[in-house]
Amino acid sequence: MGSGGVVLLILLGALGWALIGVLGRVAGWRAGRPAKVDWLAGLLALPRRYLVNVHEVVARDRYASTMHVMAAGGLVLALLLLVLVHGFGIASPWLAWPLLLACGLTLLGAERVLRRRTDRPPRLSGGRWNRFGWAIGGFALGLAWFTLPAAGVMADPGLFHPASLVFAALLAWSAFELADGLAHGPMRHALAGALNLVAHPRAQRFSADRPVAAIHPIDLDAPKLGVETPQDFTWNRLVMADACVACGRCEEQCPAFAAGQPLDPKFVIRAVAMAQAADHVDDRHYAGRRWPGLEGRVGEGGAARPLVADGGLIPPAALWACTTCRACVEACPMMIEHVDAIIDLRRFQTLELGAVPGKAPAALAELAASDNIHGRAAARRMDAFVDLDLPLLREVKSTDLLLWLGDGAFDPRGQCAIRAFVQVARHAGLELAVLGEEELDTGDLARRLGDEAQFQRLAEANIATLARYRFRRIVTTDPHVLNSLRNDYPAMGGHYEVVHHTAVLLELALAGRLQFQPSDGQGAFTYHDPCYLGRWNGEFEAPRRLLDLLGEGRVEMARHGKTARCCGGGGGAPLTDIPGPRRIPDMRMADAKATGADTVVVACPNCAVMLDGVTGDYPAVAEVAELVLARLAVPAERVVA
Amino acid sequence: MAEIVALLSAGCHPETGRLRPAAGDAAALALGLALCASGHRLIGLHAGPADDALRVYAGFAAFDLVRLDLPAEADALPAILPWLAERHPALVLAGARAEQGAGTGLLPYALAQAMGAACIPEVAGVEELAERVTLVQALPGGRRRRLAAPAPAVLVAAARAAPPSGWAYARALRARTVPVTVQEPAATPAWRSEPARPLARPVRRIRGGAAARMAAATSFTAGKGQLLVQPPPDEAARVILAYLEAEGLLRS
Repeated sequence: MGSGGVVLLILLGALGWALIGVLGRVAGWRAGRPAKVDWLAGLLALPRRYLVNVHEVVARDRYASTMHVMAAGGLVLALLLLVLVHGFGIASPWLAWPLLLACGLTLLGAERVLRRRTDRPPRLSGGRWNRFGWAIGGFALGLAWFTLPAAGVMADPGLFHPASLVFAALLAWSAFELADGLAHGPMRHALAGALNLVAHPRAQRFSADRPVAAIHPIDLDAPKLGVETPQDFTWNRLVMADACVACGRCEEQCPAFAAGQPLDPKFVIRAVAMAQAADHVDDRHYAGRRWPGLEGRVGEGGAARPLVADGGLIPPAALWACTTCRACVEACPMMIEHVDAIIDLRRFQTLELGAVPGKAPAALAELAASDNIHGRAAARRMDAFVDLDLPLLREVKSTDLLLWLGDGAFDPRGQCAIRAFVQVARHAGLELAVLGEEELDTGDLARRLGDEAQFQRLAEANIATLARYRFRRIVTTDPHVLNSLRNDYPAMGGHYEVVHHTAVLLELALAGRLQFQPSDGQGAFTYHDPCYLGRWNGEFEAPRRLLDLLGEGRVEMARHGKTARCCGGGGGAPLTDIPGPRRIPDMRMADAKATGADTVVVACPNCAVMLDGVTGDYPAVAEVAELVLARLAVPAERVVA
Repeated sequence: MAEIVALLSAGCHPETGRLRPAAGDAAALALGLALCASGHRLIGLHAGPADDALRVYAGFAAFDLVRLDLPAEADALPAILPWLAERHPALVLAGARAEQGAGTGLLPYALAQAMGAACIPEVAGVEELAERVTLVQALPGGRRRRLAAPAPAVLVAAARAAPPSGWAYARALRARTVPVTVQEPAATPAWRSEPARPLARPVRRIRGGAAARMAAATSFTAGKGQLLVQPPPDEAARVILAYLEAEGLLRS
């Protein structure tokens, strides 16, 4: 027997082993709930999603992207050539040499994998991932040895040559390590990752010019609302969890993790992956960082066991510390949707168990009885604006711009921003109207706290109200309202053109309808991106261009735009109020202070409250509309009140 | 184990007037649910025309729900009494007063009188229920006292007692109520409502002009307390202990 034959034998064995494991894994996925998947479109879009969307994220870490191109590219190339050279026995140097080169490339990649492991950053998981580089390298090395005869470098030494035996053993170990890993180890990311790109539950995120980050509605008549066990996820979300490469980039970006609150987005996803494959499993062997503050905790779960429980794989506090800022999703090279998973899990906790912590249950109870979380009568929404004489849509019937007041109308900071916007818009001659007491909460907060029933009730009521009137666009100062009306309402039957007030102000300024006084030499601005305007809706430019028109120097915080750090005010986090050793808004104000700017500019009532509440020697907090109003080139008393 | 009945009335949001759990009755339900956890059987009883009033309570936990079919403005007492007489519950829990209708707060007392049972107001917690019920009563100033009464008894939850937690939509949605038809003709209420008249408030006259009025409005008259300015810790501790002892909040 020629020594090349052993390669075939080992590979067939490994392939069989992989197949058994993968079939088991597939059975686990199939236990999930059904999902509608457009297979053809997904398959056709796969190359683009991989080469453009995935690459764009991976390439933010140059070391990792080069490593991956070498190791994965070399390995895939080697596997293809291997079929020809060893599978079909075509011992041509024209194939053998490229195969040797592919092995060499893989070895270089494996060296980079291992180099990163010697001084492993804490965000990377250890355990089996530590062996991964050795397995890839060993595979490439063993394969290269048995390809040398075909390349004509040396005569076939025979299988029983001591060197051949050593390389055969190496090849066998590495091939089985990789094959086993396809179902239960690091290699799984390749299989599940590709499938995740094809059957992604949020396919629109790859195609749209602007991210459409709608939360999927659920059927409130279903026997179980939300997700309790891994099997309650749709199957493609189980695949998604299996796609995780444990790189921990989400962890690095998570504001709650940084604040020491017990949330680790990577562990959430790993917990789902861990639990779905076994009847019973505990996280004692989990090789990544653990929930901050709960390092000694041992969680248990399984495919049909509750995920979130005091002794479960995910502690309840982790679920409620999330600000739904999507920084983890933005950072994930595998296109995993952590926030969707957290919302799904929250839905079960809220709708089935009523296990919402902190002040959130009281807010939801007030929402149920008064359609706003403060328990105020509907007419109170207009209290801060009586002197502005805003026309009510009920009376004027149609308007160009419908101003949605949102929850900011109940908060002094939000009221200032709305008043400033109204004054500027009127100065520029815009026609505005409001719903007044007909406006209800959008249900955005309820949805993010998992109370889908209230969201659907409020959305239906608001949509019915809006159907009675004519308007061209809805404008709001609140990115949470904007996101809700723009992205969440279409699935409920409401389709509107929604703009943020910063976009309207920029339009006016560019059209020459706003003249600004020259700068009086105030200090620089730094702009804090609201998560729901930036990451959720892809609007980063309008507020920045507006600030540049004001003429002050603008400096950026280290984390801005797509990687901006949350203010801590999203997702109901201020209501659930999970304790941690640090506070998220404090960290954000420290970011702002580090730029040396005198003013942090916000464009969201929640950000204004969170950042303004930080005490100490920090930059001032100002809203975009307030800055614009202050700099209008007319005497203040001429601005129509 | 014993049977407990919580009287649950239709609540009314103070600003919007919409249906919600009545705060006092929710506190009574919390007492009942705590007993439920130690093995007693809890029945939520509502006398009114619609299930919705009961459903808002059903979200808190799974317990039996009975509705005596009654017009909204009818007096509930004549309907509740025969039903209770039939069931012989060991405890009847109620809120201090209803949020709709007359809201006199008389119902628990009238009920207790008719049942020949004790009525205990301001109940902050129930510790034990057997032949006798041991409970904690809230007194002014944050004080508590332990009481015991023979069962059956009517307990009125303290106004400031914690409401139950864990309201879940699905539980409320799936709750099934047992409607009971009331045979007795509903008595018409013996009261009628009329617009409130503002009452004359006695105004304290202050002589001596604007300065005196200003001083009276801004100065505080000292209470019975003792003022210590930067006392040494030992002395401060002694004074605090003495005060607590005088208030009966400390047992040595």
